[in-house]
Amino acid sequence: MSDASRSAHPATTRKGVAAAWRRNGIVWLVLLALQAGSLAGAYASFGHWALPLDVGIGAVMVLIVGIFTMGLEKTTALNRLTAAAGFVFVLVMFALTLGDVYTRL
Amino acid sequence: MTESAAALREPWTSLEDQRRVAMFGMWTFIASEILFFGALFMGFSVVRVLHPAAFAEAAGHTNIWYGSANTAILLTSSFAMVMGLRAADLDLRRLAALCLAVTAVLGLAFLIVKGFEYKDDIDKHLVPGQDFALKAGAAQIFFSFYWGITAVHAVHLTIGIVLVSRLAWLLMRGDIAMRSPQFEVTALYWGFVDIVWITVYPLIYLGGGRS
Repeated sequence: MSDASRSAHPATTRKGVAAAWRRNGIVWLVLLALQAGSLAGAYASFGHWALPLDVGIGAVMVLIVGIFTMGLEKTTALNRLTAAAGFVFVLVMFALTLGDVYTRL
Repeated sequence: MTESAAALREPWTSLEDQRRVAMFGMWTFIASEILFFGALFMGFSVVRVLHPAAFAEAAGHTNIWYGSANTAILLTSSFAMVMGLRAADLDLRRLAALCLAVTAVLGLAFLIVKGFEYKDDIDKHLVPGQDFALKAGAAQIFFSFYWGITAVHAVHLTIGIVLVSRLAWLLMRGDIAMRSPQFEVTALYWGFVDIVWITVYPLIYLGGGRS
């Protein structure tokens, strides 16, 4: 972005701020709603599904923060690949380790 | 001097290159941190598989309300952070400074709540050792992970608070160019700290509600 394009008209700036409040406010409310859902779920009896449900909601929240708050939606492909590499290797670590543990039980 | 020239640092000749490299550097750091915290979470998960009853009992002794309050505080701080970033992008110095100050204050609020939680835990003898309150041996392992993971997260958050407070201070004094990549890099770090806590919350606290 050039300096000239940043010196926007006040009306454009106002619109930009309003759009940012709206967009990020919605993301914030969705995240709080998901947290409230997982808190309510903590007092319900889901049996063996309890942990997958908790972790599933957490994973959706992580995805939302990653995409909208950390800007994965608009960053470069290289940065997306770097972030994905971190998650993929953690998944590999979990798969190999838990695979070993469960086969020994 | 233009805003771009003020934000440019050696050895870069273009602000776009500087921004691209700064972001890539932070994403690389975050990927390494994902592996670091991932190893902690994996260790926790393995012991949980081996001792499910002891972990369920131990989780019942965590305070789900402190954990939930802190989750809401961090989610709100991320909202303030991303608004500060957008305000900086739109050249709105005062709004950016205000949002970053709110972010830092919410980060401090998280640490204060955590302090109250730690005090309760110490009073209830939930620190692993000879005076530990629970009988099951694996409950000590649960609380070792609890103290270790939450303390390391608190250290990361403290670093974030320092970084964000510094930016807010520089903005208020007019000592930082609005186009500086420092805003995006700091926001990225703050988002990562948020993500770690979002993962800690279901693993450590939510099981306590069912016990």
